Amino acid sequence: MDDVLREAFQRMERATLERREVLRLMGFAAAASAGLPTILQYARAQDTVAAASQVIRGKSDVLIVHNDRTGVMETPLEELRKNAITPKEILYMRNNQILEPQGRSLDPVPLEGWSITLGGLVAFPRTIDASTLADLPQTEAEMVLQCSGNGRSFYARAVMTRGTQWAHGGMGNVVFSGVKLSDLLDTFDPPLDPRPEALFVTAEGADGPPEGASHPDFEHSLPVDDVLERAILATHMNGEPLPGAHGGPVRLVIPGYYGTMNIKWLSRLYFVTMQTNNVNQIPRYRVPQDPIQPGSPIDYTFENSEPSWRQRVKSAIFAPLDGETVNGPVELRGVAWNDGTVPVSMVQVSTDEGKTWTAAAVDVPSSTYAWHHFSAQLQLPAGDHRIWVRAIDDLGRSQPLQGTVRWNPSGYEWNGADVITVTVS
Amino acid sequence: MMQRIGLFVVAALVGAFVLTLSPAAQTWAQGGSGPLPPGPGVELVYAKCTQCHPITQVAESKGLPAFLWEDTVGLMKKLGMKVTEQEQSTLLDYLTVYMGPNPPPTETASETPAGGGESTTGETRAQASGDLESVDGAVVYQANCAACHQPEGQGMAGAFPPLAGHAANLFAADRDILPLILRNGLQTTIEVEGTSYSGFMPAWPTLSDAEVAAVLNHVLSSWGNKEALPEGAELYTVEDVTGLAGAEVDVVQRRQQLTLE
Repeated sequence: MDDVLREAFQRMERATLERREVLRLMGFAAAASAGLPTILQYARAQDTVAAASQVIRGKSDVLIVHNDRTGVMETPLEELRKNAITPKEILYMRNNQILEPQGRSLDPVPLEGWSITLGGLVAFPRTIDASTLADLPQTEAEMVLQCSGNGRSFYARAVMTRGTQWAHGGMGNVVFSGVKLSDLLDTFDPPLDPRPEALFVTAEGADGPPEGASHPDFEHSLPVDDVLERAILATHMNGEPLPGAHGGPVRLVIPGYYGTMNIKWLSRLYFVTMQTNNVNQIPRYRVPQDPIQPGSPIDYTFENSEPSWRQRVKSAIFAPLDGETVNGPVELRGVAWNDGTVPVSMVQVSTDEGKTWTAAAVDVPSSTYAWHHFSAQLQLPAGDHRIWVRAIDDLGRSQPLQGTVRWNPSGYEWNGADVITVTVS
Repeated sequence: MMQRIGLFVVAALVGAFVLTLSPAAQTWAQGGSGPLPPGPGVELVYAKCTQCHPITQVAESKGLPAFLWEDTVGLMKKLGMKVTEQEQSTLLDYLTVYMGPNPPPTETASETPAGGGESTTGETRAQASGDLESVDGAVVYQANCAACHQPEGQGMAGAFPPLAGHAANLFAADRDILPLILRNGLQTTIEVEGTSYSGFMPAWPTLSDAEVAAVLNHVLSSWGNKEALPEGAELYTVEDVTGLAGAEVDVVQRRQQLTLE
């Protein structure tokens, strides 16, 4: 069966086949992969969504599926909190587009035969075969991978916002490894030095927009300084070859950046003077420069808004769960993180609606980009309590008590102080 | 390097795993409105939105302010949704009222008999576009049919039968079968020239009689169908389609009994 899929894919790669034939092959391959007869039931007939494992082979059915076409799925908190490093089977997914068929499975994808073009404002553009990455020095980063829409549903405390209504589960803590982009550039002779006027890097994956769509392909522009300082051409996740569903064989990973900026199935990196005006750079994936009234529109320009690049300081309570009944002292625990520029050394807890705060214990993680685990024991009288948590990083950046002050129409970058209600029995 | 992989491929790949209608989908097929509250235009929301994402993703956005629904429909158009101006206003009328922050109470909405709101819409739309001359069948085709039957009517093996050539054969065998299929849907496995097709063909209550006639005439005039039509064949009029409304016909049986050239 895999051979059928691979054959279909390779044929598409070579683009030597009539599209109709590819569709036929892929249709058969998909049906075969499910061990089913070749009966295609048009998805329009669905009122409910398919289980995660049916959307992406290898995913666990504990995931909440938001979109079963391209693959948008969320990890419930009670599953997310079980592991310090989020296993690939339960790691969240958010695809605007999917690269068929390799994006449909957690299986690895061979590096050999995968090419990446580095061009734009450089003296000597290059195209490399991904297999060369295996021979270069490797870099590893334990880091939070988080959808820029994670927590979007909480904006509804003011006015509901547009898009998938994520709770806290559009994130995970994973270990990416591969070759630092700057190391790769140094290996070329002559070195592939970007010209000084290159202020951004525009990155693109091999996935494409739906047939007949009038909009251009998905791509993002990133600030060149952060890219050269941080970016990894990731070929592994959690010590294993990067699953196809998470961007394998090569994903551009910028530790500390929101998930969408970490381009899957990396095929092209261009050094440029200006951000792309692709719909996914503007107006999508942006937040207002200055606060706007919740519920009011904004016409995004490059000047009045900024892209969802670096993650905001944030925390999530893992235990107790919201609404849980607790017997005895409350064993509070959770995670905090930021954009990794500095550690998050302080997490504070309030049980009186933010009037007073006490410090929780915060673990020192292996990397500033990773989850910082915190814990506190609270002695509370019997009854209902609201418990607030906010993180403060070493630059003094913190979380607003009312996260809705950062309200934006698409509900990106929620980082309000986290709050749960518990009943002490 | 860039692969332009079709929407329909994604739909079909996922669809491949779904062999039977979910109970909710069966409710839908029987005239219910699934996870969305009933109201005029709900089935158009269903038809357009589920081409790219499940209806649950609309359902979870219940409560969005009107300007964000307008924004969203605009964004979906940028991302490939094809709608006529009239369809767009039908979508927005439904979404801003029934999926907005202050929807009418469900009791009021459910007082409308199941399907009642839908037929109201159908009538309005049929009146608004009752003139065959004013409807462009090619536009209707690209907006509603091409995702499955393909832009050139070539179909998709295993799922969606070709219309190129095949539509003319159907017309020659039974002049009423095409409008009957559009009005009633066709959920069965059929054989066309030795290949079987099992995709889900829904009924199209969202299309007015004029749109049904126009889109069929477009199909019958394209992709080799015109040449294959019997001599002196007359294309559809709006009255042809209207005349079949409510006809008590077992479309599956009628289609299976046809002997095609």
